[in-house]
Amino acid sequence: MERKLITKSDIILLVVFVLVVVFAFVFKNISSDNLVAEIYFDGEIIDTVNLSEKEEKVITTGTHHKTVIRSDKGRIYFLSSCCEDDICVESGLLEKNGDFASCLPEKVIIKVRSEKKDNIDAIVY
Amino acid sequence: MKTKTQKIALTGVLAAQALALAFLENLLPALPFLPPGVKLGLSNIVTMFTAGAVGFSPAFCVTLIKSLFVFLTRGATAFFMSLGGGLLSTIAMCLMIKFTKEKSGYVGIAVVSSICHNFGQLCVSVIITKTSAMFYYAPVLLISAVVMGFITGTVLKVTMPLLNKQSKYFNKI
Repeated sequence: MERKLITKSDIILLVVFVLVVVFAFVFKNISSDNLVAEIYFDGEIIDTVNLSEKEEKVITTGTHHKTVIRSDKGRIYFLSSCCEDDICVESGLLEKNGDFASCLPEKVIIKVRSEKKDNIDAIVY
Repeated sequence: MKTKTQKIALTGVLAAQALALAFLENLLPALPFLPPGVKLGLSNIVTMFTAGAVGFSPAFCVTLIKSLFVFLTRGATAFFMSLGGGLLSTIAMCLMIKFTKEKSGYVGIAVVSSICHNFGQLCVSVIITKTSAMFYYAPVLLISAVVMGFITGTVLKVTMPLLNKQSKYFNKI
């Protein structure tokens, strides 16, 4: 297999992908009022935490009931989990709209979203 | 490539190298500026070489062997993640190699296959967690795939002479 390192079409491809990501991040951070964290276990929402009201909560869940999620001061995070990777704990503090962390072995997901879906005040027909 | 036996032996060695690279990557400490779960994908270098220089079915063999190794060392969840990502990325790189002759370089192939790898893993994780909420992670995975693909593609170009030399050695036996 003899090829060039990078070609013109490669560069176009890279630019397109980077633009897609930039747009995704811009749209993600559009609205940030009334943040709600949703906690999923096995595909279902088991709990929600209102981050804007700085609700404090400790939730234990997961396949082995050993995944600890904590929320304080308007943020939420995985405190500990019993899997080896600890990718969820490394995800750190979730405090913005679109922030996201998951523990796959324990089937637990935390997702932060804004209650108000968009910035439109009203639609008149 | 002369005979089937030589091809099998070479595939075995390449698979071992893919495993060694994956192991080496696990030894590296998680870099603080990298998003959680994101890795370099060094063994992708070997898979790409296999697909390009040995053949498509050997490339799939390398991918399967790698996933089985993951199953033995890291368990079922990691196995399905590895298999989903690995198969999709190998399919993507085979298609790229076959249909984009002069148009794409090593970086292009590596980036597209990394993106497919991450997308495959994302799909598997959606199945595991039964939530499409996982797709929230897609932009992070996409940009990581672009960066990591760029790196692995460049490394493949640099190591190409060595890998070719290794293949020639198998023709002499």
